[in-house]
Amino acid sequence: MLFAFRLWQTTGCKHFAGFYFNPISIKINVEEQRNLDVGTDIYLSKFFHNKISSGFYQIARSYVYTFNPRYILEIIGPLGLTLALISFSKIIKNPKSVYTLVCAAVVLSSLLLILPIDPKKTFYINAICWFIFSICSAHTFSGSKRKLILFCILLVISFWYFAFSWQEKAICNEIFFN
Amino acid sequence: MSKFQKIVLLLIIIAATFLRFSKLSENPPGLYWDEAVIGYDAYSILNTAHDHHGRLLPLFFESFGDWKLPVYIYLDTLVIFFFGLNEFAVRFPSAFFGTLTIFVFFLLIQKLTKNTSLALLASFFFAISPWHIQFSRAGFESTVGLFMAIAATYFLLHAFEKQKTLFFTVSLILFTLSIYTYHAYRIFTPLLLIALIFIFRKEIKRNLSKIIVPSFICLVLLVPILFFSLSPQGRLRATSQSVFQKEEFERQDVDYNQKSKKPLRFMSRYLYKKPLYYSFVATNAYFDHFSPTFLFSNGDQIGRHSQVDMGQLYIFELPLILASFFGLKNLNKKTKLLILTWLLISPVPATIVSVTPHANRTLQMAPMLAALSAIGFEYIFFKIKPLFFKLVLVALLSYYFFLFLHLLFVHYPVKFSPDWQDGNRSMVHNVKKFQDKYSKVLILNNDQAYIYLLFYLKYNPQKFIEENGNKERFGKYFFISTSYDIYNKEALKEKILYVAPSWQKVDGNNLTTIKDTGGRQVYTIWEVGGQD
Repeated sequence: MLFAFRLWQTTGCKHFAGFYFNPISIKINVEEQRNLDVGTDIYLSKFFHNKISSGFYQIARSYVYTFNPRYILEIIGPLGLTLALISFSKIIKNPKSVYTLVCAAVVLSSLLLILPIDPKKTFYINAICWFIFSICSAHTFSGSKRKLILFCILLVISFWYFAFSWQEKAICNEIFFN
Repeated sequence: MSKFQKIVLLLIIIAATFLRFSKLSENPPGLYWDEAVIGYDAYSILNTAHDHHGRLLPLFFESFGDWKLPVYIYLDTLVIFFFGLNEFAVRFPSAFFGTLTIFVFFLLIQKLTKNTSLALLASFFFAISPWHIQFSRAGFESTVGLFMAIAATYFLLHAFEKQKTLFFTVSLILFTLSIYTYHAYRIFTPLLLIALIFIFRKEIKRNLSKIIVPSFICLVLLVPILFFSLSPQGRLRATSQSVFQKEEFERQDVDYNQKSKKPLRFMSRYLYKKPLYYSFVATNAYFDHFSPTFLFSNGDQIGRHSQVDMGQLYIFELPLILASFFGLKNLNKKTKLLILTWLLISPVPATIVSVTPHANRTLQMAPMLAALSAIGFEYIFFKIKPLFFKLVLVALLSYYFFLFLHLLFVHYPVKFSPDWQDGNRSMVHNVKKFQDKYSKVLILNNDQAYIYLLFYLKYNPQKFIEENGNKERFGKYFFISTSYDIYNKEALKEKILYVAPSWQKVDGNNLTTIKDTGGRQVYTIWEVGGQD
């Protein structure tokens, strides 16, 4: 329900933030960097600033942005983040579990975000993957009264967090409600 | 520890020394005003026992928009005694303690893990850490504070082993000194102490009688900073840069009332409470420090704090840190807890002030991230069989390390000279060259120009204090505002030397132009007036 509430909140988003990786940035980066190599041997300059190294860096830069905690928090909130961390810890304990599969889905869906595909669609795919990854560990909070209370507190905090971040600045470039 | 391991440790420390001391005077390319005031205050203390404001052996030093803590300045007094007043002397304590931190960090990790190879790896990653190198190469107090915190933790663990009051005393005094070194440690050190008390509660209980007296001494030593923290001076920086701005809260509240989703607007009066809003802001600021963008791709966007063209860490450390979570399983519970708690409390001092993420206020993260990289490296290198992966890992590590060196020594001085207010040394040298012919030197007072004149002229601090010198005038130097009319009749009667910013058109005789390391024009020096 909490996640459905968050998705409902995104309905006012006119332009979803795109993490689209633009290949032209590689060329710009290489030229920018080489311009700073005054008096440096041309081969050395090419060794450090070339399309391969810059391409890898630029792609990595776009990709790691999709794992910024603020972005993830805006999608799944504090409760979701806690659950996601629990799911991650379960992968560490047992790498051959179902959690690894869902985690792989998150990693791949994040890759979609940097491709030139409609940012709205890729956002929802990525968000749903994160929700599933979080929900996988929801049962951790069942079993004892103390855990249930903690779950409820995190639920309230998440609702409050979603209310404050209604503009969803990391997710949405422009949000507007009539 | 084998002979081979000792040699490796020595090599790591030599590399760390090279990375921190090489071209220290020229790179970073200029002396930032905070460094200049630290240097001149230390010089003033050395010569007069007063700071340049005329206060006798102060415990807190008035700076630009904040008050500096004493440890770095008094340490610098010693260095200036040996090396004189120059850039090298101002940066020496940071580079020296930065290098020493590598050794202390090795001891700490060795003590925690009882694994010398891992400790060597951790100290290696810390020695080549772009984050730590960046701050060790300039007059940042945070590097000295970090040394104190790591050394204090090491001595505490050593004290638990040896059960000697002396080590407890050394540890607690170092913790106290860290609080007197840099503002961030006023928050970080108490939090670290709470964490240590919790993690090592059994050991503390066992040694309680040996801890009481040193704790009492340290509490007494902390009284001045406690009063300082509560005073307007002590809160100046936190207040001026606070993220908790009432106006911003009110603006956000109005925004929510008018623009948020309709059915939720009515809840504003219950949701938009100040403490809740401030917690929201602080939470976001806290998490910003764990952002992969900050850590691995862009770094702190202030040019003095990072290379900007890369993250605070090397990009190859990302898979290492992820792998470290698997490697952590092999460590004992207390070690795991200490590493993770240290890392988690490190960003707290930066959450109450803007701008975030802030690499200087969270430098404490760097050693534990290096430890995680080492754990990850060990895990991948020794647990994963294919040789190909190992070769790729070593090749990547080498490539990015040399790329960092290239950025640090070739790009950085050219690209970031404006961030370091480069050009002031050359400006003062030229003023010195031309000034004899003029009875007055006028300088447009931007970027605290007076401190550069004091610093590079090695102006007698006693004279400065006696003539009531200040940021507007001392000796024949006048620091004027943009509204000052340099062409008024009185001023034109005699020739004056005028230092103008590069953008100002001046009606006079151009003597020279000052450029920074990047070739940007910073100042022009003019002869103005002299007509009847």
